[in-house]
Amino acid sequence: MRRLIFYLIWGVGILYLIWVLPRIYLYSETTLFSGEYGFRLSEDTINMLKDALGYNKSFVEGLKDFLTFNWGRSILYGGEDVSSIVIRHIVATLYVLIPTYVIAFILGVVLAIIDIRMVRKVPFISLALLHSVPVFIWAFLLYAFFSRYVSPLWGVAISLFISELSSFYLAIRGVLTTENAYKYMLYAEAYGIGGLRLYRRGLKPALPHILQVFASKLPHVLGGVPFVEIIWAYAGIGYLTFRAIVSGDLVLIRGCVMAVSLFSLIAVMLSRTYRDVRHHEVD
Amino acid sequence: MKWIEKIITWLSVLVIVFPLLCICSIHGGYSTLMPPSHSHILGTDKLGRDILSLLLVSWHYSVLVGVLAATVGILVAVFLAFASLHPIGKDAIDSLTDVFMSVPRMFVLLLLGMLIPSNTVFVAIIIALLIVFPALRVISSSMATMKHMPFMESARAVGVRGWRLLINYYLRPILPTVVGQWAVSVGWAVYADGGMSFLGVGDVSRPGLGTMLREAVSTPGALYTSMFWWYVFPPLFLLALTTGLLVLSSHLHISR
Repeated sequence: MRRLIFYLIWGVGILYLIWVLPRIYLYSETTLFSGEYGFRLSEDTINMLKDALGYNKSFVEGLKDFLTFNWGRSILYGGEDVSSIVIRHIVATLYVLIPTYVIAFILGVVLAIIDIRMVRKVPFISLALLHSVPVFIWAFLLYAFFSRYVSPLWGVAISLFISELSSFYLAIRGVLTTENAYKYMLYAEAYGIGGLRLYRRGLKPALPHILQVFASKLPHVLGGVPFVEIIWAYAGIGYLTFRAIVSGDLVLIRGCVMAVSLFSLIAVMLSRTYRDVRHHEVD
Repeated sequence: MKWIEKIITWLSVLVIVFPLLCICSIHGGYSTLMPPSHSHILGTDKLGRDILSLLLVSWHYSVLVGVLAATVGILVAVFLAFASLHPIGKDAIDSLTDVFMSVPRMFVLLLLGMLIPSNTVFVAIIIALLIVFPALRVISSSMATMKHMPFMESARAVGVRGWRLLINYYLRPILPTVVGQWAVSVGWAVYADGGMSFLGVGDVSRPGLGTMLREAVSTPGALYTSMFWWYVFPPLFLLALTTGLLVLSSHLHISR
């Protein structure tokens, strides 16, 4: 219970910290809303923009805006509501990300099971080495050599898939190795249960842990999304963040970071509500 | 197979350290976009700068940012891990780590990169802030296992308390793990710095592997013509650096 309270406090606290972060802007305010276009705004215009975008609001008003999804208006999109822009783009990202994520996860589980049963592990060691390659290098190499043949949507999907597959394989291999150490697996093997049947039994109790792996990789994958989307020019949340950075639209950048963090935080926290009873006993 | 591991580890050390020993400056004023030749081993870019010298200088900066960020991040993580040894501190810090690790670090880094001045030290500090929690997870769990070791009971029985207990009995036995985590953090910091400069955030005035890649990608037609030397070598150098650090870190973990 105490931990749950801490989760709530920290979760809201960190999201609110991201919300108020733009207030620590260290440059001259005249450059705040101008971005790379190089024009400089007058004091009156800045104050007007700050009022319109909610920068001059008190702590309570700011908190109310944050909770009611009143995330300000974007300069890049001609004053459109930031939350609606962000939702539109995050849906485009999830449209690619979720199927890729699920397929990579299932294949990762299969490869991990085969790996645990294999004696020669050379192909799998090479897969583990692929894990050290950052996702944007995958995206870049794919773009450099295959952009004529592959559409942006497929380019983003393949780049993310290659990166996620090795990551899932390694994580689930770790979970199954832990599962192998339990005595019931040894007894099952002694009773003559072998091969995939054994791991079907082993996977069931390890499911909460595997689901946690599934969710906990999400922030890592989302972190690589901006690079992949920029390289492939795919109009998702990462590309939107980049466009907001280039045009200096701080309110939109804040909205993108808030939306992605909120989504990721909820997914990871939901996966943690279902805990492995055996791990709970050890704690 | 141990000798193969040793060779790979030493090779990775060589890969990381060798470019640091090359003292060089950026050589410019040559013909633009020259392919690799005897005079320019990796060719030149659109401003007529020697790509090898650019890569070496960028390597120096990347390692500088990585080492600075990882050192600050690991030091903070060690202090927080000491605090997590207390029962209330453990719940508070564990849940904070969980929450922080649920937030995509790269997005937060981009937001922070927009807000800070374009300065290498500032960039290193914001990267360090995001290194703290993943490192804290590993270090605090290693310290928690030390708590139940028999020697800990003996140390308490003979009256070892305070900082002496923390440093000598909690930190010293897990030092290889801490150093391994430091190496991983240097790799992540280098990747984060490269990613930030690739997007044009942070200190883009200095040479960087990400900046070089951005210049190549943003030049129309560079990818579709045969100017491979311009965009292939920066990611390869970045890859060599992060993989070398990962190999070094896994060797340190295994040696424990």
